[in-house]
Amino acid sequence: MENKHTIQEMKAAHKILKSFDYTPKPVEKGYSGETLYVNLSDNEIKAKQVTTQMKDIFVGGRGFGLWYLWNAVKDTTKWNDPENEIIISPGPIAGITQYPGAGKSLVVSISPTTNSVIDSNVGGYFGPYMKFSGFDAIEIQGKATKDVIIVIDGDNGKVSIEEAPLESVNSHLLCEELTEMYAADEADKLHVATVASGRAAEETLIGCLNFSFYDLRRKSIRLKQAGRGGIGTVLRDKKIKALVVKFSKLTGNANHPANQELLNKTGIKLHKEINKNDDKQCKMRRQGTAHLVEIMGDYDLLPTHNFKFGGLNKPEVKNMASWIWDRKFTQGSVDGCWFGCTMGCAKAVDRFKLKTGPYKGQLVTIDGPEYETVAGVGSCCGIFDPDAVLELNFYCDTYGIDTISFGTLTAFVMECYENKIIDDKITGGLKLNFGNHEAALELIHQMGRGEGFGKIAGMGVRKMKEYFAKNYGADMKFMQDIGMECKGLEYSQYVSKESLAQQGGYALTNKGPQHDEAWLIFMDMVNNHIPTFENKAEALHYFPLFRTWFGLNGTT
Amino acid sequence: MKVSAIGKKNELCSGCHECEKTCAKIYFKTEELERAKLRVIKDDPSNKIITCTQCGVCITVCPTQAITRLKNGIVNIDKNKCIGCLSCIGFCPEEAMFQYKDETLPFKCISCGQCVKKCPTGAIFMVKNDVSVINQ
Repeated sequence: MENKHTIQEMKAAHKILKSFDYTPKPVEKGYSGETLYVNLSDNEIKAKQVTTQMKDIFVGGRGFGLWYLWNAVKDTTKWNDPENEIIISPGPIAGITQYPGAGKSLVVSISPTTNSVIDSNVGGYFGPYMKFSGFDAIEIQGKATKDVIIVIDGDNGKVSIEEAPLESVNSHLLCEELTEMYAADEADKLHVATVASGRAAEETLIGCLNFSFYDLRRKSIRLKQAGRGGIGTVLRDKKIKALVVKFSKLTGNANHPANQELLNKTGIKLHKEINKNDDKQCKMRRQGTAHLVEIMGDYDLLPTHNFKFGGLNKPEVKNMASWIWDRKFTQGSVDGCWFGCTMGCAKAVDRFKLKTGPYKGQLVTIDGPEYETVAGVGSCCGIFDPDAVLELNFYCDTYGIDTISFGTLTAFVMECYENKIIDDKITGGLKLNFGNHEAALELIHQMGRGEGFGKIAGMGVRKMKEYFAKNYGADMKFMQDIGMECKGLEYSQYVSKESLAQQGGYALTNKGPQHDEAWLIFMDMVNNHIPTFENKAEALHYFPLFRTWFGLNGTT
Repeated sequence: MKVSAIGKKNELCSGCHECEKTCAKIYFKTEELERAKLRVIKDDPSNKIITCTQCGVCITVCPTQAITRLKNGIVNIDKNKCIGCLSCIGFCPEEAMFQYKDETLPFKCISCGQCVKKCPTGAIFMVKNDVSVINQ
């Protein structure tokens, strides 16, 4: 199902609905000083000033997102109301090239799964390029009537809303098409970054955003995900096909930090430490976050069979361990999702031949899998076939759905199926036993097509509980026991019942059980740094604040 | 592939820094030692000479492919492509990639050999190194 149109045909079919000229301001100490507001209901585009007060109180990144969302919505606003916004802000640190991890964007919106505020942290070049193009954030409100793209041309100071009817929707194709369309030649592709989602984001509530960047060595686009909370679903509900930014003047001091000399010195020190120690410590350069699998397994923290078990206690679970991924990943490339991130955890499997779905038989590059994906679509679903995990990872990404929510909700329906809460009649013949990766893949393709049981599963665990109770007479108490969600968000992949600190963190986060602010499990269970109740309580205060600092500033 | 590089014998180095001054003068019109593309540092009992072997590890870590091997084998930085991440400095096995103060463009030895001509003790000399990293 490759796109039958040429890039020229796609471009020619664009209809410019509105364009806006501006003069990009140079970035000073991490801020361009303006943000971009786009309303798709009336095609308004304007620049807004970043005030000193905004910087002092909200810093940037997630802080700017929360501030703009607060001003945009009412207490009655639902995720699919036109006034809901998607705000993407890279934060003042984002875009620094000397210091690893400094390229993150934060996305904020009202979530379709929690009906509350969600934020998601993501790499890729979009955020930094947007800032260097003149905007500390983009704030998108309203809804288009036909599929549109929003293009920020930072080289020429132009923003446009364009109808884009012919491009693909699924990310691995769409991001490639747009990168080619907006780059003058092969070398210029490095200067184009996009944000997109996919077909399953339209049909489910667990849509993710893919942030693309061009990989010079692989000669293909790479995708990093703002996965949590269904922001991809909001994007497609607004009929946004993609956001595009073009910026070709990146320099080493584009962020104009307060002290470049100190930054150079500190960055070089960290590059040297990573070079010297990473192979002996976290192996992020070889395995990415997948190095965590057997550590979590050893401490009974790796979710297996819908969080029923926690360990690598079965021989086949070893198929999920880091050394498997070490061999699958293409080694020796430069895998940072922003320039200069020598941690390089954005691993990829190249020339993977797909066995199912609309792209069956094609050779593709797959980003990941990261730890959360291995645990989510792998062990949590009782799936221990690495190639099945890769295929599920690929389709989650290109269809635009979150691997964590997909994994946790698939594990939930598998447990429901094994407990006869749902049967073949309800699943349309899908035999959703633990470990049936063929059924899991068919489920994801149904989400991509908006058909069958995939539509029901795509509502997420909380809504499925209500649906199963109402329509199939399922026992709510039992489903509350096995349905791993809190506040409507599916659990990320840690057996938190083992760790009071992690469980506390999951329950206390505003957005639901997502690990970034709650990731105390390593300190608690592996390193035993916080053994007492007092230690854990204290950690539940400082750790979320510490991680929030990352999200405000645009780093990892 | 055989590539010209600066060879060294640490035990012969007197620590006069003539090599560094010569290099800095040619490329940056200054005698500031921090501008030299090779370094002599105190390392008891002798001095330690840091020079580029033209091995090409920096080619493999550069995210923008700004570092390439030229036809003559020398590893070269294209300043128009460099985005100043300084990864190459952190990953150089010889620690022979340098940067100056608040500047973000790194610099390295291109085996011009002018320093060799100035060395009074023969501590540095031209060699032909076998290299395996060609380009990536």
